Amino acid sequence: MKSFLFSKRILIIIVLVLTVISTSLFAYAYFQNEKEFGFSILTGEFEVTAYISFDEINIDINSPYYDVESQTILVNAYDSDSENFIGKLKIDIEIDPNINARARVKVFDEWELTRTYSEQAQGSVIEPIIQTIYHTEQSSLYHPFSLLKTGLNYNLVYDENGYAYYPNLISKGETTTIHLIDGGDAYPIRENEIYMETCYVNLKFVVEVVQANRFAEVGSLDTSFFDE
Amino acid sequence: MRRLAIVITLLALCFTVIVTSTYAWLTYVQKKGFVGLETHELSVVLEVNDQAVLNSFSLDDLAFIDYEKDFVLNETGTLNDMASAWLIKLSSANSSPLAKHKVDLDYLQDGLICLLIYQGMNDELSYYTSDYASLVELIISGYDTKEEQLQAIAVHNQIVLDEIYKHVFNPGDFVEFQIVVWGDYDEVELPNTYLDSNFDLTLAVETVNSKGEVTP
Repeated sequence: MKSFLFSKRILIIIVLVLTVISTSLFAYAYFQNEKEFGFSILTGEFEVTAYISFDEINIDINSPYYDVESQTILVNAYDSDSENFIGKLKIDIEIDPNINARARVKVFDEWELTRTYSEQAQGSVIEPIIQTIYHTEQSSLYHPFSLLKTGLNYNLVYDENGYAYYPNLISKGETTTIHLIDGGDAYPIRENEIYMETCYVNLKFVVEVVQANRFAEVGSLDTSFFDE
Repeated sequence: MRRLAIVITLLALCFTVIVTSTYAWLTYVQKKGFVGLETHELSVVLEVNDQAVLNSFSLDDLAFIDYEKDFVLNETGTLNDMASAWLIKLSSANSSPLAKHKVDLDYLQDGLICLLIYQGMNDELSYYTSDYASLVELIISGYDTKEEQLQAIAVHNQIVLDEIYKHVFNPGDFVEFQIVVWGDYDEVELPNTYLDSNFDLTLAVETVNSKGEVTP
C-alpha cells in the first residue's frame, strides 16, 4: 500500500514537472517573430526639359519657327515686330536627375544675312546674296561670339571646345534650371532703293547630362576642372 | 498524505510563479476586481528615408561606378555624391515587449557594392555619416585585391548587424543605420544594358524577446 502511494506521488510529481517545462517552452517559443522587407533598386535617370518661348509664348515642334528636320529654331534677327524676333526669345533648360549629375550645354547659332536686290531698270534680275555673319566676342552678358544674351544667373564655365558647364553639382531629386538665352540684339541690316537685307538665326543647342563621376571622361576634362 | 499535499502545493506554487514570470513579459492590465493578461505581438516598424515601409520599398537612384577609379581611388572626388544612401529606422512597436532584433540583408550580389553604417539607438548620434569615401578608405586600407577589399567591407557590415542585435529594445526604441549602395560597372554581366538593370534586396528582421536568442 505504501509502495503504491509512493509511486503515485512520483507520478504526480513527474506530470507536474512536465507540465511546468512544457508550458515554459511553449511560452518561450511564442516570443519570436520574423518579418521581411523587400527593396528594389533601379538605375537612376535624368529628365531634361527645354522651354522655348517668344514673348512668353511657348513653342513646340509644331511651331512654324521650329524646323523638325534640322531641329533648329528660326529666329528673326532684324524685325522687332516679328513674332519670332530675337529680343523676344527665351530658352530655359530644366534638369531633374535621379542621381547627382553634371551638365553642359553648347549653343549653335548660324546667322544668315540675305540681301535681295530690287528689280533693275533694265529688267535684269540679280540673285539674292546669302552670307553667314560672324560676330566678335561680346561682353559676359552674351554667349561667346554671338548677339544672343545669356539668362539670369548664367555663370557657366567654358572649356576649350565651346561647351559651357554648369559649375555646381546638380543634386538628385532637385530641379535645376539653366536660363540659357534671354533675348539678344538685332543685327543692323541695310535697306535702300537697290536692295534690302534680312537676317535670321538658325539656332540649335545641345544639353548633355552625365552622372557626376563621369564628367571628366565624357568631356575630356581634367578631374580638377571645377576646382579651378 | 500531508506530505503529498505539501509537495503538490509547492509544485503548484512553483508552476504559478513560472507562468507569472513568463507572462510578465506581456503587458499587464488590471481591471476592476479582476486581473487580465493581454498578449502583445513582438513587432517592428521600419522606415526608409522617413517613409514607413509595410512590405516593400523601391528606389531609383542607383549609379554605376568604376571600382578602381571611383570606389578605391575616388579620382573625381564624387564617391559620396554617387552613393544611393537609405537611412533605415527600425523601431520596436509601442506595444511590443522588450525585444532584440536580428537584421540580415542579402546584399552580396554581383554588380552591387553595399556599405552599412551604424547610426546608433534613439538618436544617440547627433549626425548622419555622409562621408562614405573616408569610411571606405579606412575599411579597405591595407587590402590589395578587390576580393580582399570587398571581404573587408563584408566584415564591417556584419559588425554593424551584430551591433544592432546586441541591443534590447524597449517599446518605442529605435535603431538607425544606413544602407549605402553603388553599382559596380565592372561586375555587370551585360555592360550594354546595365542601365536597365535592377537589384532586389531583402531585409529580414528576426525579433525575439529580450531573454532569448534567435534560433534558425
